[in-house]
Amino acid sequence: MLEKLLSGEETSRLVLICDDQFTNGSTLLRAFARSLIKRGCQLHLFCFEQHPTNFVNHLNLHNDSNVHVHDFYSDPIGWNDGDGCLLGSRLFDINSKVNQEQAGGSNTAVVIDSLSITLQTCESTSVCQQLHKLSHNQRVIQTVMLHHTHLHVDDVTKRLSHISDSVLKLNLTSSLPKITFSKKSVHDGTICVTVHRKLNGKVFLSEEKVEILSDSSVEACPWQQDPLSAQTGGISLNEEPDVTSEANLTFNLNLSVREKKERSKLVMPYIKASEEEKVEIHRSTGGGGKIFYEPDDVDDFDDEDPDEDLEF
Amino acid sequence: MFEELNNIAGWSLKNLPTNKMILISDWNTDASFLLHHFLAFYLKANSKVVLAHAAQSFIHYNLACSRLGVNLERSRNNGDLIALNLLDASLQQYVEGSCENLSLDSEECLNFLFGDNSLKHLFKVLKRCVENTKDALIILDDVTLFLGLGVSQKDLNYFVHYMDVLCKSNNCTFVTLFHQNFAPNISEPSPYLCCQLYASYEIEVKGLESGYSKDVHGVLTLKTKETEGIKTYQPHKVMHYRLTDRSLQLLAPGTSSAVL
Repeated sequence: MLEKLLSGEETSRLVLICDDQFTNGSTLLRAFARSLIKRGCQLHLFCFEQHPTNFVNHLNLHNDSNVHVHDFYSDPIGWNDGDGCLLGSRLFDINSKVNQEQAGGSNTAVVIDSLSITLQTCESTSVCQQLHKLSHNQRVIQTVMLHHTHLHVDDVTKRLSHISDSVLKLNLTSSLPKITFSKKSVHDGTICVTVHRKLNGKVFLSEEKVEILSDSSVEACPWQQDPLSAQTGGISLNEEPDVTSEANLTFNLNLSVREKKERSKLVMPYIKASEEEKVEIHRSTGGGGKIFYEPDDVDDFDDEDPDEDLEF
Repeated sequence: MFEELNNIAGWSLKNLPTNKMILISDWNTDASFLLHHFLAFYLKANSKVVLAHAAQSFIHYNLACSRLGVNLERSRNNGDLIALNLLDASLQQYVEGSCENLSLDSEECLNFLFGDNSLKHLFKVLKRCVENTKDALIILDDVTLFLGLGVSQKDLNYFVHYMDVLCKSNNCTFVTLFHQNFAPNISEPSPYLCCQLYASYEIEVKGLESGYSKDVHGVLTLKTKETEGIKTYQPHKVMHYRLTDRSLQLLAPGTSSAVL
């Protein structure tokens, strides 16, 4: 699903990329930007968190004439004696900026990096309204934005997810410390959980393992969590040790076939003792036993039968 | 300065971290020894240093750095070091309502206490200090204090953002200390997470989980941001450390002489 969204095979007017403390969504955002430029779109880049030059350089473009950069990074609230683009009436006025600079045609795309400082300055509801208007702007074919989920409360993330057609959530596969009892450990990579809403209302969920290749392209393949590791929280317990790990030892831990046979013939000491007891008990119930008793001096030995007066 | 820390991070006198933000964070311990390290490191590399101190007096830093082989008084007289005394200015302004006999820079910084409670003035003064300078270092000790002085989390986040802009535009480095045992207001983005977002390096200092030890003073974790890729950090480097007056000894966990 991720590759279909990147290539444009799946239509999505508003794409939300969510990352957290341990994952970096900027790479995926840049991949989307590159793909939109390749498809011939006029790209409007709104930089809030990274310097625009830095972002454009990382796109590795031969020709950046299709990229219109809006610098919201250098002076968002006017401390650098600028106009404070996030203050007052200029409140996230992305829609009008896009409309102003539209030279003609409807092949415009918007990339926003990222939403955090805007969500701090403005109410999340008004930000959502602006984004919703942007997604319904007939000239804009796609808007892609980056959101840091760990900086904001869950409600904000839910609101943004609600207005988005596609939500891409990046997670590490193992958030626990890496404790492995075998070589076949849980894969420590990044997965992308995509929730995509089609125009007809169908919702698709996919989990894919994501890797960034050396040429900065994105490779995604289906990922399924190992059910055992899901229960143990990412720790593999029941797998046999890999043979190759024992090849590095200077002593032998394995048994040969002959040694295994001899081990099976061995009788345990506790088994032998219990068998002897069983023999002893068997003998004692066969015939009568004799009791030899010698009374002591202080014993008051009475030869009479104490049960004499009983009538059976 | 602490050579072992530099070796592990890949820094040297010829390879200073520039154009970056370095976050020092601690949890129930005091990581200010790392600020002394950066002071001594950059002064030895003949870079300009701006020390904005609100937690300790200048004499404290002078004494600490003298053990590391650097004379802050001499550096200040030479112009290599600019010390912004936020500590004294804040007290004088609070008690007497004026900042006489203090430098103009300090007075402007502290307008935030009685003005609009923003760190805009402090940012402007720091910007003015590093103008037309290359590879400068700005040290702010410490950023958590402002949260207790009336500055909101939002304003602190803006300040961190603008310091990042300053670092990238003026090619300087910003080092600050953040105490993690501060309870943030959850309705606003946490300043610690905001600092982490912009910082290229984070040095986290914590006490040992097993308790106090004479031989090992705590755990130091160096977190370096990935420049490319989908993960935020490179694998963390976790070390035990032992701090003396003049040096910082870093050990792989469990290899202290008291254990082996």
